[in-house]
Parts: sequence; C-alpha cells; structure tokens
Amino acid sequence: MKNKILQLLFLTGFIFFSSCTDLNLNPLSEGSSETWYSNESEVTMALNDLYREVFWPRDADDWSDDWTQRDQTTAITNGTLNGEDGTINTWWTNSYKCIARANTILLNLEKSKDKFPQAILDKYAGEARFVRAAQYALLISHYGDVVYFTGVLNLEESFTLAKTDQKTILKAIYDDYDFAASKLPTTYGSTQNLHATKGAVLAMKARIALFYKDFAIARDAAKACMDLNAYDLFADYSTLFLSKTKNPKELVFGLPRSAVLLVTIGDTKNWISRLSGGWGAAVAPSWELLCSYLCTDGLPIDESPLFNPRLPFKNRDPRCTATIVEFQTPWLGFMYQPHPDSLKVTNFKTGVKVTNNDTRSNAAFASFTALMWKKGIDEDWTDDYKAENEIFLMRYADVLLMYAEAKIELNEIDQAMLDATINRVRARAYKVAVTDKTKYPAVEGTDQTKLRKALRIERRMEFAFENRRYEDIIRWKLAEKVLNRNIYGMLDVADLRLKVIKPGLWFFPQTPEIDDDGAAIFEPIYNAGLIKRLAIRNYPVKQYVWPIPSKEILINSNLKQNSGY
Amino acid sequence: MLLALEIPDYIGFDNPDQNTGKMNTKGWETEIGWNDKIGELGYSVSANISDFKSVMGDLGGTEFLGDQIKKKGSEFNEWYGYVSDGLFQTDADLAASPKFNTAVKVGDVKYLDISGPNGVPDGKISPEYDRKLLGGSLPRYMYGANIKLDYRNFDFSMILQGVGKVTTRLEGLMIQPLMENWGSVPKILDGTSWSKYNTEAQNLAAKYPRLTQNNRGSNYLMSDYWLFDGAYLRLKNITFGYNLPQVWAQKVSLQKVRVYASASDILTFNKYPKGWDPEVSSSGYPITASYVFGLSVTF
Repeated sequence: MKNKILQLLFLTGFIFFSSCTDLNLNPLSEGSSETWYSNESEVTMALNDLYREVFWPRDADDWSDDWTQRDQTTAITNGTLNGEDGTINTWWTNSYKCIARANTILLNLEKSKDKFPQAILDKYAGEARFVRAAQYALLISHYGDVVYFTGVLNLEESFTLAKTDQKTILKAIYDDYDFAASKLPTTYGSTQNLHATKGAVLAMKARIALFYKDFAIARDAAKACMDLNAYDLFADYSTLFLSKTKNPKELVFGLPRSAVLLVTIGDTKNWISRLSGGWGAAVAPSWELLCSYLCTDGLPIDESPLFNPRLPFKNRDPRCTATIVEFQTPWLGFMYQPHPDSLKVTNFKTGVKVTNNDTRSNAAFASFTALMWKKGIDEDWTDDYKAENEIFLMRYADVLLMYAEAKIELNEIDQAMLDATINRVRARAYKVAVTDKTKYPAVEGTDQTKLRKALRIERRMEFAFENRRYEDIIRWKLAEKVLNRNIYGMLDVADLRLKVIKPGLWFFPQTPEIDDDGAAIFEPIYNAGLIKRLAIRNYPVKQYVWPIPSKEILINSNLKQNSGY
Repeated sequence: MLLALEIPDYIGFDNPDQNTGKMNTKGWETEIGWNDKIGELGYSVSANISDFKSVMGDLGGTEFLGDQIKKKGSEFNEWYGYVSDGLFQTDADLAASPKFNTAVKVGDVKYLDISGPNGVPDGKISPEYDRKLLGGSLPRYMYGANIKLDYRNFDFSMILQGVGKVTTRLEGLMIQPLMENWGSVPKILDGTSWSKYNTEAQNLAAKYPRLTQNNRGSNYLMSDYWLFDGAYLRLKNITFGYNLPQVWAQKVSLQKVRVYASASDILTFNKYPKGWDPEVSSSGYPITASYVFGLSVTF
C-alpha cells in the first residue's frame, strides 16, 4: 500500500515538472524557407540563383539565316512551330520560374525592412527587379501578351489569370529597370563577380526599348550607359571571344563559365573540324553570312571590284576571316582546305601529311557549305571538347550600335555620332584609329535610308555567332523574307568537279546579288544548276510571335492562343 | 492516387504530386478446367480470361502525359490526339483544308478541325482545340490456356497466353523514316508509302504518308492514324518430357530419370511490324525464344 502511494506521488510530481513544448520548429543545421533571408549572405545566395544559365537563354543562331546544319532546319526555319514545341515550353517555364524567385526575394526583402540598412535593401531589390524586368522583356518580345504578376501566386488565383497587354508590361519593365539603374553600382570592383551593374541595366533597357521602337527611350538609356565611362572596346576582335579572355572591359553583362567548376559550354564537337576530332561543321556558317561581309572599300560583294568569287575571303572586312575559317589557312593544328582535290593536308604538330577528312571527297559528312565557324574557337575547345568561353549577354559594341540605331531612326544624324558608334566599331575591326579614315571604309553622310542599311550590315558583321541575328531579323521584320529563302551549299563531289571545278569556277560559281537589306540571293545560281539546295526554309508571318504553351491554354480557359496557331 | 496534376507554368514551380482523384475500375474473370483420363492417355485442360476497365472520376485537375491523358471521364491513361482523315491526295484538297503547319504537302496526313477557341471549328489544326480522347491504352480480355497430356511415360504441356484487344500505337522507331536526318527507311514503308513516283491508284491505296524529315512534326503527331490493334496470342511454352521406366532407373540406383525438351516464346501471332514484340516497348530488347534440353535425375 505504501509503495503504491509513493508511486502515485512520484507520477503526479513528474507530471507537474514536465511542460509543453512547441514542436513546430525550424531545422537548426540546414536552411529552411521559413527563416531564409535573415542575413546578407542568405539574400546574396538567393540573388546568385537568378543568374543560372537556364534563366538567360539566347536566341539560337540556327533560327536565323546565319546558320546551316547540313540539310536540317529547325521548327522556326521550317515553319512548324506550335504550342507543343519543346523550346517554347522550356523558355516559358524557366522564365516564370525566375520571375517567381525574384518576386519571392522582393517579398521577403519587404518583410526584412528592419534587418538591413535601406541602402542595402535597395541594392538587393534593384538586382531582383532588374532580373524580373529582363525576364518579362524576354517573354513579351517572344510571346506578345503574357501573364503578368509581381507577387507570389497561389493555386486558386493562378487559374483565374488572363494575359496582360504587352505595352502595359513594357511600362512596368521600364519602371523596374529605372529603379534598378538608380540603385545598382557602376562596378563591383575587380572580382570575377558579374552581378548586374548600372550599365548592364541601362543597356538591357535600351535593347527592349529598341525592340518596341521606343527610339527616344533607347537612345537615352544607351547614352546613359555610354556616359558612365565604365566600358571600352577590346583591342583585338578575335581575342575578345576566346575562352582565355575573362571579364574584358567591353563586357557589360555576361555569365562566366569555368572548366574547373564544371560549368562549361557543352559538347563542342559540332563546331570543330573532323581533322581535329569534331563532327566537321555539323553546324556551319551559311553562305548568306559569308556574302554579307563588306569589302575593304565598304561596298557589298556584288558592287565592289575588289571581290573575287574564286577567292571569296580576299579583300573582305577583317571580321569575315575572324568569324569563318579561311580556306588554305592553318586551323587547330591542321591545314583547312575543303577543296575536293586536296586529298591530303599537313598536320602541323607532326609535319606529316594526313588524309584530309574536311573535304567531301574523303568524308561525305564534312562541311556541306565548305565553311567552318572560327570565332571564339581555339585549342581550348579541342583538348577536352568542353569550352569555358564567357557567355556575353551584352557587350559595349552592342550599346554603341543600339545608340546609333536609335539616333538614325529618330533622324538625329551627325558625323560625330557616326564616328562614336559605327565607325568606332568598324575601326576596331580594322585595328586602326577612328580618325584614320584612309585605313578603313568609314561610314559618312546623312541619308537615313543609307545609314539604316549601313547600321544593319554592321550589326551582322560584328555579332555573327553571338545569338543576336534572330532578334535583329524579327525586329526589322526581315525574317519573312530571308527565312523564306532556301539553304544552299556545294554540289556533291562528282557534280562539283564537273560543273564548278573543271570550268575553273571554284569557289562561288557566280557572285550572288545582294539585295537592299544586305542579304544574298542564291536562287538564280541554283536554277543554273551550279549549287545544291540543302534544305527548304519556310517562315509564316505568324511566327514573329511565338505560341503560348498548349497545356497552359488547356487548363486555363482565360488564356487564348496567339493568332495563327 | 498521387497524381502530378498540371498547374500553370507561370506560377514558377513544377507540378507537385497531389493526393487526389477517384478512379472506378470494373472487371471480371473466369477460369475453367477439366482433367480426365481416356485409357492410358491422361489430359488436363484449363483456360482463363479476364477483363477490366478503369474510368477516372473527379480528379481535381488534369494530368498530361504526352500522348495519353487522365482527366474526368477518361479511361486511365487514355490516348489523346488528333483525328485523322487519310492522306492529302490532291492539291485542291490540300488548299481547301486546314493544315497543321505551312510545310504540309500532298501525301501528308490530313487532320480534322474539330473545334476552336469559340467552341466551333476555326479552320486551323491546333493542339489546344483539335485533340480528343481516342480510346483506352490498357489491354482488354487477357486470356491464357494450359494443356497437359500424359501417356505412359511421355508427358507434354503447352501454355498459351494472350490479349484479346488493345489499342496501341505505331511508334516512331517502328515507322518513321530518315530519323535524325541520317537514319534509313524502315522496310515496311517500301511500296506502301505515298510517293510522287506512284500512280494515282497506288497512292490511294498507300498505307503510310510520304517520306519526309522536314514535316515529321506534322505526320507523326499522336492521332488515330497511328493506332492499331495490338492483340496477340503467344505460345508461351511447349514441353515434351519422357520418364525412363522405373526398372531401368533402379538398375543404376536412381529413383527417377526424366529427359525433356522445352521451348519458350517461340511463336507470337500479332499485327506488329516484324521485329517488334507486343509486350516490350519499341526501344526495348525483344523477348527472345529459348530452347532448353534437360535431364532431371532424382537420387
């Protein structure tokens, strides 16, 4: 009995001395979404996430007339784009993922008003708003009217959303860019840290303004970027693009790559010659691109007496041979010569002649156009077939040319402006001073039509292989013309020998006519049986605006598909 | 069920698994067997057949699985695609009909315009409005049979197995020509495809569209053009065996000795293109026939 009472007392005492604990805890040794954004390093890590490569997709050059891939076309160049297409679905999803993350950061910064000083809060908010604006700019420039929100959505309200007019979103984009430009620094110092700077914001604002023909806004944004005096053109055009060039002064906004950190541009074999271990220009420059480079006298190839279709690389703008491998020049350790009679070429490492696998007489899958990309490629690409070239999203030459384009469209033309922009970029290519006008073909005059044409050709020569051409032909409404022309290349070897080589017509059997927009016309040469049609391109006008992903339309009846799809 | 129901992409998150949904499955099965002996021949026969159908109830959303779908009222993983109407045979027909894209030419698959944003046909073929449910993808009327015979020291058994009806799809790897732009043309397309070198009569009888790589995006879409009956009957196993007479076995101090020959998966009757197996995916290694000879000894 006594024991039982003692036990009872012990138990009741035990109950009185225990207590209730709240088990709704946050983990102590890992991050949790309830407690994140509590200090600067956590906010910085969240901001770093916004710079993932997938959130900054580039308009593929294979959607443009600068590119060939043997006899293939893409959904954009063969007119089969629809709401189920993989690329449009991925871009849409990733863009909105980035927007949701940027909005989450902004929401949490609002909540942390008392944790950080105002200047720091503004800087972080500026960065998040810059990224959000850039994502919406990408969405409206590709899809037209899209869904717009600045908070964080929950499921019920998301099903009720409809499209917002792209002009309304554009205004919000400008507001975000303006806020970011006022709060972000001009530079982050000499680190490899490539977060968005004031100049990057201004340049990206100019780009979207130009796309929507807000020329005054574009002009002012580009000028503000130039007036920061934070950037300069890199001295050597070729070296600028090599993987060893890290964070050059010309870079305004980019994503660094690093072989050490396993962040590289993917498999490089498509771009590399067969002799150097690649697939032999499975992807290659197009003949239209080769023909678009002006001659050293500033004239297009169908007007210049300096152009020789037998030796098409001679007397051309220096960027031609910097972008495309010239025939009979050393390339990645071998002599590059696609002529079918060059059965053996020299291996410069051993000094011995080897079978030339870069000509179609030896290898049927060598370059169908005989052309090979050169820009940015060097031995860094062939040693392990991974490349760590920085991704240039915006460089200073683009800022200068955007300023020029805006000024020309506004008809505010004077020679000083041309010298500061187009001529400066061109003189850099020729490696001479802008003022030294005898050494390069300077652009002069005040005729708006002529200067518009000169500016557009300058952009094509300067930005080949940099994912700029597609946006240019969309913005100038040239896509419906140039992408409805077919892709042409060399005849197959037997016919080539008979019809081109024997009569002494290697390389271009005839000089193609260059139309008013600087684009080559090959159809007559094809009709004469002297070149081969590699693929038929097809571009319906509806494709200026991409379709919205089908499944979005199928689950939300408030969304309607873009017209034509 | 845990279903990754589709939420709008613009929320910025992947489809989460939701514990949702009702599914109603109804079915039946029957088995019958008989064994008996006629003189010295003993026999045993059994057969079974079963069937079921699963229909989705209210799911709270839709789960898209590419060519198949789960939504309220559909079967489980029902085919979801366009409705076809043969091939385009004339330029006039091509010009007058809605097309999937501007690359469609005579000889390509023709689709029907079922609906549009306003609920009526809109003259365009689009993924959002012109796809519908095309029938269940799960097998129906699955059956099997088992026959055993024994006569004196010989024994024989045979197992059959099959599916009575299943709507399945001719996959790209089976019938798509020029894949990756350097692939070759599958043999079944030879002489059975639409071609500009054919006569008009041959083209009207053509089973497959013109050989194209450029317009594969239109011809090889999920539609009823590519659905066929994947029913099959498989001779799963056939075995002959012989038991040595007891007297002989005992002479060598063994209880029982049996020799046998067995063959598995040697014959399948089905409508698949030659080389593909009804039970394996189009890119999987097919079920191979095997022949086994054996000796079984009991001490």
